Amino acid sequence: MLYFALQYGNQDTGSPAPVVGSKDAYLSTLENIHGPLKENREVSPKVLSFDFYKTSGSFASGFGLEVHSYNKSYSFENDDSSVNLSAVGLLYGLNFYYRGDFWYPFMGFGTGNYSVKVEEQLTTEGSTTYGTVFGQVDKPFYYKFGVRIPLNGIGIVFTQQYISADLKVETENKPLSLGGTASFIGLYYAF
Amino acid sequence: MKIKGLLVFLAVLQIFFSREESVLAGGENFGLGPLEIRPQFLVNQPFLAMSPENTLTLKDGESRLSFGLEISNTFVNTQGPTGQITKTETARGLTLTDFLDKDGNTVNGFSLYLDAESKRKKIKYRYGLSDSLEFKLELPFVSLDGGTMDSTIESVHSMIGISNFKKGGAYRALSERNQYDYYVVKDGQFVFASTKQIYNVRGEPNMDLKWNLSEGGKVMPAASIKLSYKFANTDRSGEQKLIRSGGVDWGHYFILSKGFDNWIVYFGDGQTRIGNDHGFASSLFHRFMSMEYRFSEEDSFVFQTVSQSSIFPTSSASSRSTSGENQEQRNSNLSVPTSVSAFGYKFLSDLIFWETGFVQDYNNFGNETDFVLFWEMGVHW
Repeated sequence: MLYFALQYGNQDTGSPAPVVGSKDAYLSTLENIHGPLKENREVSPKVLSFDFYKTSGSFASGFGLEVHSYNKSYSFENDDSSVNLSAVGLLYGLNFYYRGDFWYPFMGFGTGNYSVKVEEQLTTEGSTTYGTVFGQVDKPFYYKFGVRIPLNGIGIVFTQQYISADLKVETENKPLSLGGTASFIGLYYAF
Repeated sequence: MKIKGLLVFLAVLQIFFSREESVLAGGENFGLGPLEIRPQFLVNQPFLAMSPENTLTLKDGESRLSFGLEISNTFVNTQGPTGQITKTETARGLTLTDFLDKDGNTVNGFSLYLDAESKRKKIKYRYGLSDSLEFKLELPFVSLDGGTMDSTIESVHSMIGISNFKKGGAYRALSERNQYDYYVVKDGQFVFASTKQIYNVRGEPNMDLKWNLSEGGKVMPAASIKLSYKFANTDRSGEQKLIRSGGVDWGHYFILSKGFDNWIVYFGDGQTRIGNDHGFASSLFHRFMSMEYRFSEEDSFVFQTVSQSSIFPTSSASSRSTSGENQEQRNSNLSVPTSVSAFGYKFLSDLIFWETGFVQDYNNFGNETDFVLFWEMGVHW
């Protein structure tokens, strides 16, 4: 069986994944200089996922591949400084399903990579510095659980996902969390 | 971190305890294998590079002889943002002053001007030492020239809305098409500076030993470990230094595969240790994930992603600048890991083996190829 799904939701990058995540420090370091962030740490990823699995009675195990993509701009209270973040994650891992009569709960875990671009424009005492950091998190870790509700081939999927993916931003040499705690809702099609 | 460690530990533990089940399983976790394509970035060419491989080994006494060709197009111009290196400068020949920043200061770390196509031909021989142990010997021959793919790549960029005058298009429009230039500068000094095209220069051979630890079972994956060793050829005169490192390299790959009916998933994690790094990275980390869809017992479609750490070590270059355009020259995008995706087709009959595909980068970092095409075909007995 194959599942193809499109999901959308909120991801709080400031809320570390329980057990596997840790608090980042890059933005808080900039806040000490440029003032508090005007925005919160939530991003809105679009998630495209592809799962296939093999059933054995009511249980199934399978492999999933998902692409996460989001952009976020941050600005600061005390000056015109800004940080723009673009991230694309390619995550893959194992999934386990229970096939009930009306709903299919699942859980999974895995790894992958995140490709990131961080653009800084920082103002200090009238002078502006620029920084562009390209980076990759090549050993993220995630775990997730959720439920699929089938409706004749198509269906609705709810996912709660926890991602540990910290990028060390070279300009400050401090980690920036690209993962965190996420909740997604979407539609899937079963082949 | 403890959870990750525990999962790895449990996976390894179950591999050893799943031997009895795996013997009964009859190879449901084996397919035709991942695409066996190594990183083709020009600066990586002299060094050993681990390539993805199947968990399955040849059986005792089986042999396979194959010939492969890998064509890659690489274009990197770290001076592109300031327009310091264009058709005019490459026509007169680049000097170190072309690699200063726009204010005339030496750029710390690496600066590159790479405009080349590499053609890596390889002859491979494999032999099954036992039913689960395989030996491989590989001998490469490498050509570096201006190639023919530049106009196609620029057209594809234009078609999907990427400007060849900007970073997304690697500033390709500033340079002549199908020219050959190979310049690597470190801390204001040339490491490589060549405009002389080379053809079929014999590279350094490498040999592999692959051991299938487990065939896995209905729950557990098959597992194999591959060890690779590159011999040293200290004759690095002239342009041969672009192909040979002159040092012994070795590496390993730990590979898992799991079958889900017609789908086989492969995962590998490994490392290359470079013996004579010439100021580049002393080790490289590799990771791949492949999904194989089996059309039949004989042929498959494969999608693959490969991540690798950079051949350029982290330098003291500052990632910040008071000038936006100068900042782009600094090498923050050369030393980060990078990823590529690959698609391919594999065929295996009783006698013939055939594999073909292409690789495309998606990070647009300066430490990877733009486009790779590859073929490999052979016979086995």
